[in-house]
Amino acid sequence: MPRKACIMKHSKNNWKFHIIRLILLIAFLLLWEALTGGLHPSFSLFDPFYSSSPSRIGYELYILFFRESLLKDMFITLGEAFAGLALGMVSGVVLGLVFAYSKLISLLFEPLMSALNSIPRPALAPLVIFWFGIGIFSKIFLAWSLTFFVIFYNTYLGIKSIDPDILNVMRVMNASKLQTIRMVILPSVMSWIFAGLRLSVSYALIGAIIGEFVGATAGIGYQLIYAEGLLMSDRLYALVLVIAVIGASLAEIAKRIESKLLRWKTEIIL
Amino acid sequence: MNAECVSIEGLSVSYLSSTGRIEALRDISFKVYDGELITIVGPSGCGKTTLLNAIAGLLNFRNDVLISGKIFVKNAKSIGYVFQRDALLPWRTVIENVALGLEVRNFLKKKRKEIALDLLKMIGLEDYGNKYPHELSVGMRQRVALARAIAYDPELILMDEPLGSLDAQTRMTLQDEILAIHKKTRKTMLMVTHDIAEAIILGDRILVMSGRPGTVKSEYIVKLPKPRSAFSSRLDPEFSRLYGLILDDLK
Repeated sequence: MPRKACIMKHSKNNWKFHIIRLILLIAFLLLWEALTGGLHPSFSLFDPFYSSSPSRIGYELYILFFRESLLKDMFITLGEAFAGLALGMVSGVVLGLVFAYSKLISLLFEPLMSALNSIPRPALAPLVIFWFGIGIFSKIFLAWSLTFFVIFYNTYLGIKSIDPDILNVMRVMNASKLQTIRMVILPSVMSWIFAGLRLSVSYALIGAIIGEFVGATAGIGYQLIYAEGLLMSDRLYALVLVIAVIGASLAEIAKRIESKLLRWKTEIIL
Repeated sequence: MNAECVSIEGLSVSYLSSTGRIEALRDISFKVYDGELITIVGPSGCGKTTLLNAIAGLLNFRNDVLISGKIFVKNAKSIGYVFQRDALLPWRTVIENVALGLEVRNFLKKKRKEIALDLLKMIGLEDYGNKYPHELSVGMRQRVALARAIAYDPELILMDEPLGSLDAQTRMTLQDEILAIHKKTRKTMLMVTHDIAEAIILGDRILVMSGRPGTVKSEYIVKLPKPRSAFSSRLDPEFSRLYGLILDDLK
């Protein structure tokens, strides 16, 4: 497997790249700190009210985590996102199966599905708040409304993309319907769903945060709007950093799950 | 003479499409006896695949097909099918693919593994049991497909141009392997090919089909001495005699 060998070679040199990346990061942070007057007041090119600085962001993170309770807000936002994701998975798989197996339903409702999916969710958010109130349910709904379509389309394609000859193999072997579902349909659908897992996870997070923007009493999105209202620019930077770290970690976890479960796929997942 | 394994009488098949009826097969009749290896040779598009699918009962799953005539298969529930493209399940390892039919028949896991391993040894892929299909070459994959088709011990094996996508050398190796498997298992085999040489080397009998709608044009009994081989059987005068006759038929 020449491709595998190639990757192994890369990972051998990986620590070098890590060190170079670390040096670049430190240089960037030092430059940022210096240009905002953090190292010497006379050398201040940017106003830290707008550009903030690493030290100010660090202090703000300390305040957020140890003086206030950002961890609680994080759990709320993540909880909303994961509830939406779980509902999206269940409903997406069920409806994907229905659409794949009923030609009538897919013909009748396919246009509706793509129309619904094309609604920009921020535009939907005020209405959702109106329906479900400012509690967690409006956020769960928005997270669901984004992840559902990813899972739905992946399930549908997962079934439609099954090689017809594989179904013929099962027929010639006299496999029962249940055996065909267990041995062919489900594995194919699962592979498509897991291939869309990273996308679904970040969509769920986006949905929850949009909902918190429009009306909430807690959550990271709520904290952002709150900080904006009080012109706390350092806090805005700090919160964006927290969201970025959460998003990146979730994407990494999804990637690990994906490559573990989809070992049999040819493509190398980036 | 052995017992009949397959008997086709006056089989005609047409496909219904939006533009009308397309006749795929017209008035086909032939018999296959137990233990025979029959090759069917003909130009592409002459309905060879349709014929195999009719015997395998796969046309019954379509609602756009009209079938008339008689198809008798001695044990219709005991058929193995090797498709043109291997149709392996990509999420299953090689050994799990070979054992697929055994799993469908509810064999115990231990027994499944034992049978599949034996077959992998027979086709020389015992070291590849835990690989996934995408890690194998086309020739290896087709071997796995062949092993899968015989693993559950069917009475009849249908092969639809199984070597069509292979290069000439791999092809000859696999022809030898099919000969060896046939000799060892004495399974009734029906193989479709568009390669005249392949049809002669492998077949006990050859059915020559002509195109659109497909009909059986002629039949030859191959008197090449056994054991045959993909290379040396080509040097026999009987080979060139048949090759000339079939080539004329297909013109």
